[in-house]
Amino acid sequence: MKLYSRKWERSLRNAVRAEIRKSPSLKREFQQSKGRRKRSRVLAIFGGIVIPAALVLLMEQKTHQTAASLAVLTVILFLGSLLGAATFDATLHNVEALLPMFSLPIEDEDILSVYAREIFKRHLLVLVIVEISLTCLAAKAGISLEFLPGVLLAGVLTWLMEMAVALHILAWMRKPLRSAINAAMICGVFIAFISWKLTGQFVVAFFTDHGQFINLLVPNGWALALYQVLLPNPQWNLLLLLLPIGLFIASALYSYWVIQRRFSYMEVHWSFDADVVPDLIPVTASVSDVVRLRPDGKPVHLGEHAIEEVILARQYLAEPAWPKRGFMEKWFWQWLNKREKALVDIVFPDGPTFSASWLAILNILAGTIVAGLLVRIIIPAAEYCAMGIGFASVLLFILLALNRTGMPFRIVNNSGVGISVYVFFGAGFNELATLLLKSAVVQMPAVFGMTLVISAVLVKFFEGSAVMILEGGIKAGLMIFATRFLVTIYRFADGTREGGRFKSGILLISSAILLFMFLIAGGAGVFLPGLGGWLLCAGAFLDAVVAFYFYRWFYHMRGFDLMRIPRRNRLL
Amino acid sequence: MKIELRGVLKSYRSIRALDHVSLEIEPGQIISLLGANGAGKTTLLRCLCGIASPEKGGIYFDNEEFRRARTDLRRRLHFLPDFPFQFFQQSVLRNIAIVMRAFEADTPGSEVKILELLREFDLLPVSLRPVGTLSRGQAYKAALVAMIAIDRDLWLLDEPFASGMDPHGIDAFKRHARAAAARGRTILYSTQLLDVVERFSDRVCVIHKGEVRAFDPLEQLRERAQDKNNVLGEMFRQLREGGS
Repeated sequence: MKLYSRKWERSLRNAVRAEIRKSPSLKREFQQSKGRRKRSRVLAIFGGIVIPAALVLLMEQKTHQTAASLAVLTVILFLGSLLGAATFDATLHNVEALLPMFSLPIEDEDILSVYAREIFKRHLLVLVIVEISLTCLAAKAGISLEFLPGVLLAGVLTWLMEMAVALHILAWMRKPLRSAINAAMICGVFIAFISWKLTGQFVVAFFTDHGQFINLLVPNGWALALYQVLLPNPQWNLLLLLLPIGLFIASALYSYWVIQRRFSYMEVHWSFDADVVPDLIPVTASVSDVVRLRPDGKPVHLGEHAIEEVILARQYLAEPAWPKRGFMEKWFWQWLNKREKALVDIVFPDGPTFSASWLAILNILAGTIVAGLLVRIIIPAAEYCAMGIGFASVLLFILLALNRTGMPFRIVNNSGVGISVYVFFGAGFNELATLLLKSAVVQMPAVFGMTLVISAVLVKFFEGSAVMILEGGIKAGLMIFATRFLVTIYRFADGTREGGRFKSGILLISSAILLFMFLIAGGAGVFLPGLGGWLLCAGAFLDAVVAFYFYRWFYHMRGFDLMRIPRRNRLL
Repeated sequence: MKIELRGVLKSYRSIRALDHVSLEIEPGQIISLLGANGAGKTTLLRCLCGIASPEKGGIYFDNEEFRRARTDLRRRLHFLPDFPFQFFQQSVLRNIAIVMRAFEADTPGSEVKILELLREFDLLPVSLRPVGTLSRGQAYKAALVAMIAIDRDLWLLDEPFASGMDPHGIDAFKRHARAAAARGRTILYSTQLLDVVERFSDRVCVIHKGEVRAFDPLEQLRERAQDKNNVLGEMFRQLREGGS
């Protein structure tokens, strides 16, 4: 089913354009209302094609092993499948897009097929990536032109497998696990990138030793492994992979059916709970009587009368209960001034949950260490990989926990523009930024605790000294803290628009340079021992602070529009 | 299209949004849906378009029971909420094209009608812009253009007079709705503006706490009222004070 007729739309568009051309005033009005064209998309597509091909060739150059190069592509494609599944899932749960869909007289399965087709079209890029990477590899290996159809066929099979893996993941893997693997892999790639000097040789060695194993372990690599049949002295037994490949692709249709079965219109509504009055209070008692009679000071109604109760009992003026959740919350509450205590309700509507978050992260950290030790015993070769993914996840959770910005930066659509929630509450930059900074400071003991443990484990692996443990832990903790400044800038910038003479591009480029400097200096500084490392970390910290104050100055001086114009880059 | 509601019950937990509502609506009328905030007007419209399903009772279009799964019956009506459901990232024209396709109204030549409507509602200069970048009134007009163009048997509109449309847009809507009613279409809209109801409806449906308290032509309500110059105002006051 087609969502709209391209031919009909084109005909309408032409008619509209012809009409506009006839009238100079309409033409002028039309020109004024024209939006900006997309510029970044071509660059993103180009980067998406070039980077994987470059990585594959780089690995080939380092290892001179086709299996290792293909394993890099396998990992990239697995990440692609995870991201593809996440995109499909997000699309199927995007209320903004689904509401108009469900309001139209279209069958639910037709809606799903419309989305699936859009995702399929987007995945054509993956086919281009695979074909270019394999063709480059073939050229480097000196494979003759007569084998080119074979190379292209392996590429097509790989592409089909990539989509099949995405469908299987979406149908059978739970979202938290999917997201955790996704985030851990992205973090792992990022860490490997910034610490390449230190970890590069391990990564190369890992792919050299286990390239073929990775290709056979991850389904994305099965069709890629077939490519090796085209090389001189081929391993013909790899052709046996055609059977599982066929089964895997065919079974993806079943997974699609499972997704289709789950996807249906559901009526969602929010409502008040029923009024509930306990037996000890007469049902006939008025709300004011209930307030007087209630035993423990808490509302006894659950329904709309609870609001009256809260007001009559002046409960809204009472101190919140959340500071009792833990020492971080208590410290946070004591540190806030009167204005910040009022603002905290906007930032954390149900109160901050620092203690619970850090307890959860502690559990993940403990799980990672135990898992790492188990892997060390069972598959020693995968020890670094398991630890790397585990620590990358912990790091990601630490960053997320520390950099929570709460409700104020949620963008609300308002007559064609997006406005951050904080704007409606009349909260300023300085007070919100200070509040967020304080929330980060109170969590720092937990951050240092985590980074010191991670540092201790890593230093033990690399047989370093106790000083290295301390240095690595403290430097990593400080760098994590510095991200608070950058995230605050980003959150404010996300909901603003530069409408003045000063080109926003200059601000964008300056921010990108400062961010890049922070990542490079901070990343290298954490891993580099001695004074050099400390200086790099201090530089990165200073960079974040300067970026923050620079943006703050810019924010106040330039008088940004506190709104953003929606971009046109979504699926539907 | 004849519309019947037979004992429709819809509740949100303990709140009865529609309490055994029964109505018979003959085609070719403009019906105003009146009621205090939370009275059940929007729920009634949602049930009629299939977004919400009644727990008890049934809705019948020309004696055929209406359910969400009946896509053929859903093609005979169109619902425009107070904040229309639109593809905000897509242009006005694409949004119209999607609605036209879904209702199978994108026949050759239908572009001419759309062009006229775009001109009438002052949407030509913004027609290639994403709906998400338009003002609320413009976005509403874009959805209204599609509604008028597909011209279904039943037009359901939630608060069209509080949609941000300019006076010219409101006038154009009234004109098209009146013409549609003359062609036998049924227009059912909710509003809070009593003076609009007095001038722009053939029949008034008053809902109070999920119950239909009146479903009569305005003349009949006027006959029953004590204050002939403020018929609906008096009715509202009585309902609020607990009268019937």
